[in-house]
Amino acid sequence: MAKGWTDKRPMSPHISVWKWHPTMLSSILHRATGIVLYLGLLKLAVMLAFLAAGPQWFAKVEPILYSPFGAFVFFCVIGILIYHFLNGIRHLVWDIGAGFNPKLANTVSLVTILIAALAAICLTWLLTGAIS
Amino acid sequence: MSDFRTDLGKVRGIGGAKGGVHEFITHRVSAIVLALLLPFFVYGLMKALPGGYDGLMDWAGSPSGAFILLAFLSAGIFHGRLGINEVISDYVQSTGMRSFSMLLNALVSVSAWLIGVLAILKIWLGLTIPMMLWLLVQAVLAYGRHWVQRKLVSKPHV
Repeated sequence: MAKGWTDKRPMSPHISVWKWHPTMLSSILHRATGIVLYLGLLKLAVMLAFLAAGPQWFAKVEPILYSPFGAFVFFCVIGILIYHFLNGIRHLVWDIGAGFNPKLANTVSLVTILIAALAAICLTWLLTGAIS
Repeated sequence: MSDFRTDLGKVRGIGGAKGGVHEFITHRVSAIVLALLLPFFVYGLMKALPGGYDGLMDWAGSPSGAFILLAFLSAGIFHGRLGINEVISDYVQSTGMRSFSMLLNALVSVSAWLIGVLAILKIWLGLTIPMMLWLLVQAVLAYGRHWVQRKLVSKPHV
């Protein structure tokens, strides 16, 4: 609610009285996943620095990277990355003015989330299978 | 064409930001670059991670791996910085806090990019830290000369 709002009467449709729908969910997720991916890139830069510093430095982060927690982080970040990638392509298609049919857009939103989740499961399964 | 803006709106400065096309376009161009790079990045990561230290060093030390990492990290941080700036300008209301947040974002982004790129160059080309610092100083000096030439020597456009 806006700051300094003193009127006691009910407000017309506002952010808190909006019906949730798939395109809204995918739009919010796109922004949220973008922020997480930025943090992921910072982590990538730091990990590369540890790698470049030599084996004795990489040995300090290696147990965390290859722990179950590391696998969980990989699962989250890879799923988020694939979701942002797929939804980003959809945004580029939207930018050229196509794909605005509500029914299609809602379906694409749900399918995108589903594909990202499945891809995250598959890639994490492949990776943990290759490591152990 | 008639003027639709109210007098109060003009006084308060409400209206378009009169800028941002560059950010809009480069955000999308970097998105296309990242979309093209992503399959190679994920494939390389999946191949390199099981190999531990040696696998990751082999990946970042190979020409194709170093190229993918350099391009993905650079385009990613560029794209991410623009995205975070967009989030900041959407949600941070006071001008001072907004400017501070964007400055912090710039510092964090450039630092992370520099750390990542120097690390990849060290792994790939075996450059030592003094050699990289020398390269960095040369790059800053070259940019400074370019900037001085553009700002001071060339005539201003009318």
